[in-house]
Amino acid sequence: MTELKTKKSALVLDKLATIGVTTVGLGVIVAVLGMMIFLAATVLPLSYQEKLQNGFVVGETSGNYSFLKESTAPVILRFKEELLGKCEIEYQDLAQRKNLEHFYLTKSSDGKFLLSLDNKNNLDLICLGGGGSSLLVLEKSNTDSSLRAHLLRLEIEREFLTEEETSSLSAGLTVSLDDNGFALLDNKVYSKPSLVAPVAKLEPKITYQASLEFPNEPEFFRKDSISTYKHKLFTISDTESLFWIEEHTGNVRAAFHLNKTKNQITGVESSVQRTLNLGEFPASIPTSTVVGFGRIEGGEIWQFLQDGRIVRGAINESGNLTILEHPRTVLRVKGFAKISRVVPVYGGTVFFIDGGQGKCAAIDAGYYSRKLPLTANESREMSPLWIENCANLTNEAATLLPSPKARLVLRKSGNKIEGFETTTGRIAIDTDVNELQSQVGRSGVVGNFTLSDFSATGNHVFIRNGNELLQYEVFAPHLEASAKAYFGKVHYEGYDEPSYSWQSTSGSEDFQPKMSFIPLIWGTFKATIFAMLFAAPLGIFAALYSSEFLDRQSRNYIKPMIELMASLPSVVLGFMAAIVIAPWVEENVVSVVLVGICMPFFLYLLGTWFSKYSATHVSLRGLYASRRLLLGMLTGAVVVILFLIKCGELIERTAFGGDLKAFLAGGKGSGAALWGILLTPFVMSILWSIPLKKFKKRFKTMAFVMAPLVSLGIGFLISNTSDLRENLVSTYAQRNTLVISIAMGFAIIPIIYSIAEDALTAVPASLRAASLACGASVWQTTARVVLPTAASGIFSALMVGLGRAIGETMIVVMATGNTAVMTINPFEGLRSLAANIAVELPEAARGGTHYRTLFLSALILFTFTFILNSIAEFLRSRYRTRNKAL
Amino acid sequence: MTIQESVRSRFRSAAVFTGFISCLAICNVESAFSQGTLPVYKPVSGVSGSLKAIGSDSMNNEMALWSEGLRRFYPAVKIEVEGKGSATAPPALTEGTAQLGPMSRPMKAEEIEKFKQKYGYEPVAVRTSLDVLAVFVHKDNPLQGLSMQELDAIFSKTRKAGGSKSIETWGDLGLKGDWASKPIQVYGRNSASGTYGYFKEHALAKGDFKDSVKEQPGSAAVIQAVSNDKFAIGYSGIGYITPGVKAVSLGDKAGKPIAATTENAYTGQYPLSRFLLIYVNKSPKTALDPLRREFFRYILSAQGQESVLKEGYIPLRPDMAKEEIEKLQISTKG
Repeated sequence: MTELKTKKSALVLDKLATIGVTTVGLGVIVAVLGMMIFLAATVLPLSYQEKLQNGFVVGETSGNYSFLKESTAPVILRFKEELLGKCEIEYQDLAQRKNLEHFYLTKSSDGKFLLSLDNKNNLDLICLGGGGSSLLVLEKSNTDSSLRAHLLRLEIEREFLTEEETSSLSAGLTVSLDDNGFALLDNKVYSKPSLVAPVAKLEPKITYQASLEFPNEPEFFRKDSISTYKHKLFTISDTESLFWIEEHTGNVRAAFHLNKTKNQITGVESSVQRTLNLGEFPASIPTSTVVGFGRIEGGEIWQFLQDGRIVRGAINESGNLTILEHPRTVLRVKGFAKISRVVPVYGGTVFFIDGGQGKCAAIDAGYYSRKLPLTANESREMSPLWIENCANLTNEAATLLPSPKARLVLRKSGNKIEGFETTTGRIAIDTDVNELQSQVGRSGVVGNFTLSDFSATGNHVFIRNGNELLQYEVFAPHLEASAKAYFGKVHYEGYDEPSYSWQSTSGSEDFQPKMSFIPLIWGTFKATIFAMLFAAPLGIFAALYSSEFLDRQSRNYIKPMIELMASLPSVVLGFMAAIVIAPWVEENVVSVVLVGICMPFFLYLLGTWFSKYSATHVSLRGLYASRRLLLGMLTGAVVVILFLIKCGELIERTAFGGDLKAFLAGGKGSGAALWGILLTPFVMSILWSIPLKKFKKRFKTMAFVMAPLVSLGIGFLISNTSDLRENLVSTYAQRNTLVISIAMGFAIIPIIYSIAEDALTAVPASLRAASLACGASVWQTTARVVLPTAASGIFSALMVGLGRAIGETMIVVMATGNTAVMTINPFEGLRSLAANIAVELPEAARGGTHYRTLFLSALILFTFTFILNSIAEFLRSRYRTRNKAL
Repeated sequence: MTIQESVRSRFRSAAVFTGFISCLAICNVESAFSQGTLPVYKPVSGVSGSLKAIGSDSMNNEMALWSEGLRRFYPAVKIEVEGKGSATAPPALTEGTAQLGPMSRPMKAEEIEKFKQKYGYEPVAVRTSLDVLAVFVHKDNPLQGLSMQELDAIFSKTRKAGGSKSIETWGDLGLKGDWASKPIQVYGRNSASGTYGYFKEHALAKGDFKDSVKEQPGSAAVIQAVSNDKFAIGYSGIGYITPGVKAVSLGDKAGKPIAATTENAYTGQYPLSRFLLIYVNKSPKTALDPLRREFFRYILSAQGQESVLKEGYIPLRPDMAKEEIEKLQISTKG
């Protein structure tokens, strides 16, 4: 007897196969996990808590500082206010905490402003204040008692050096370039921000912007302190500045400056300077009661008063300011009887309002400037975008500081510092003075802690702590991201009411992104549900038919053919839907809807009629319908469809006034017709289920005629009280959900059919045989024996189909208009999560809020499909074990 | 020189050549333009290497034509064009992954900032051609013109241009008869495109689109949709015009209707025209390398501007092309 031994080569192969399969399997798991980790890592930064961090002491400070900012370098230019005869500008490298240079503002002999290194007293100049890159300077006339206020702009000019110049320079550099790429040599500052950048010589430069004359102000320069003079400088945008100064008469004058704007095409530059007389802004109001002031996008100037009133002004063509409201008219913000502080928010249309009683809000001035009549004669309360509670710790009014580059307002009340994100009113930054002081190793006097200014980029904030100037980094990489922004109803700037909106990009910088997932999720489910309404009955009944009624031979042809449909690329389907189906459906909407509604009934009729004239034959597998029946049904169906299409045309002409679009818009016809069509199937099934034994037969045929008439009658009765068109189907768009459901149906019918068919054929023949042997008909066997046995398999078929529909991208991208609307109207388009990612991801800047938000939507989509597929898999395994038992 | 004078002188120096070719393309430009022509490109020796361009998708075909044209002179040169949208250009230029950044809008301050932080200087924007955005309706539509306010009220839900009421049907625009009751079907570009952003900023006054504006994946798709849908309106580059649609004139500030023509684009009167730009990283003190120099010389030449026309855009006027050559310091004499 020879010993049975496995060949060595087989053993080796076996081992190799084991290793191979294990590696590949593990590889798949690692890849999937890796993708999950990548998704999570991309999305996670959205949840980072915003904060003020990396604080350090910049240096000593005395007197009032105004900040002038140069955006590219970590350099600030700050200058001391209210120093009579001395406009000192400090040029400082913040990261190195050292002064690079001191400059003094002087006037050259030819009357130009310049910065010089000489510290000579120039008694004719006073620096009043600064902000952004503008500064406000007063100049005394040499000849009379008049004064001139100048608006100047400070810039850092860069002169780049050639390589030869650089090499000759570095030989003489006494100080090497520091971490931020700055070096000081012969009282000149050089910069080299990165390895690849050329060396540049930096030179602060002053340019003249606008001026305003005060004819008779002899008192001004005699005062010890200029702070008694009211003045204010607003930097509205890069191109606009507005300043106002109160004359000794109490009259307020203002100059309004528009920077040079260039016509991009012709290159023609235009520059406007206007002088406004704000004296009448209303004359009865002392300036001390004005708590906030600003010019909004639309051109109006809004002034907020302590008692909660708002006074609007507009600048006309000739540069005069007119008050828009009638003197007796009172404009207020709803819920704010008093206002303690107001600042304009980035974007130019919204003001942040502090009511002083622990209530803060945002008012959309840009919106109301368009809505309010030019001269309002009635008092009005305006609704804020949002109202939130804010800290109210002291009797003193809180201080507000708006960011120049983000919808963020810092607010300090007592010890507490809050940062409001002004789109949703979320408190993004929540910290206190003690925390910030401990960051820089200080403690103590809280009262001297004041918010000074933001840097030009909005990335840093300067804070005064007694005699020290502190700088903090504003860590808010994804300010716009929050649960409320994604899932809540938000009142956006310029909108009539709070809404769920998706509009994430724009060409302009100060755009407020709208990133609500709700319309996208709505669109996803709308597409899925409509597609399933179309595909599920077709797929399942087709599976039932081919497994239970169709003869083997035909089934062997039909099944692979339907499964072949699944191989059609969805791009092709989408393209077909957009180019062929959409225009055709538009022409024949009524017919399409009619076919959808009436087809089941006609098929039932055809079936009963044909089965009378065709024999069925019995085989081991059960009872099969003849091919003649199949052919007859098919021909019948085609005839019925053609008939229904003609009917549709007739109905459109009679019921919808010959024009469905106008009918849907409410222009033509009566709402009764729509009710009639929608009610017909219900009425018909009710009529059929009435147990009237005697008349039943005649009644059944009568129902076909009766049902539409009855439902039309009901329609007429209801349509007066509720016209469906208004809230259900108000518009018709060519690319719509109906088209999607048809195209997507093509994609998911084969999936549902294939899985359901497998589940049905897997039901053991013995069950059918037993049922038939007991005298049950084929339909009884199918409905009560086969279907329950295969139910979980069919359910999992539906789930897999659903999963495919949810994730379907290309069909939706191509065949809907990608409109983020939230209606159940099947004649309107939609925007699904998947389509949205496909459209927007290529353009989203890597690592930005938009980019991460799209990944978050991908994660949401993944969660949906994951849950659906898990349920499907769970059911499938249950059905497998159950069938094993049979 | 006053502004008016300078404008007038610009008119005078405008091109016969450009006038001629744009005549072929879109409209009848009366030969008001006198002297000045674009230089004909002549190859030089010593040009080789490869270039990569990342940026605007609307400029994809233009870029392809230009690189094809240049390669006819220098077969060894390789130019790779990747067009995923204008927003992809600034990071690519800053990181150095691309040497050319085609953009259908000017860079935002923020984007220039990032570039400046790395290099210290600003990227140079080279104007390459003009794109005129036109508002299209179906060819059978009797509508002639729209004011900017009406345009905003059709497309926008915020109506920042000042329209008091949303325009929903053709009747709201004063069309009579059958048209009056028909709802307007609104089409636009997909939210990723520069055209979308530009339209939003200039036609909607930075407002928001209505939710019902149907987004189409490309300029040609918008035109196709409008020609298929009798009651449609849409915006797209004028170059994509087909016989199935017609461009309506748009009102300027004074309410005067301005047709979407080359002439009105050059004068800057037509409210929706923009330059198509190529951004390039050029240090102010060093000259461009030979390959990029020749690339720009080519696109600013007669041959290069002819490609512009092929793509349905409007070529630069010779004086503009000259300005760009001077800006880049690549004139043949120097």
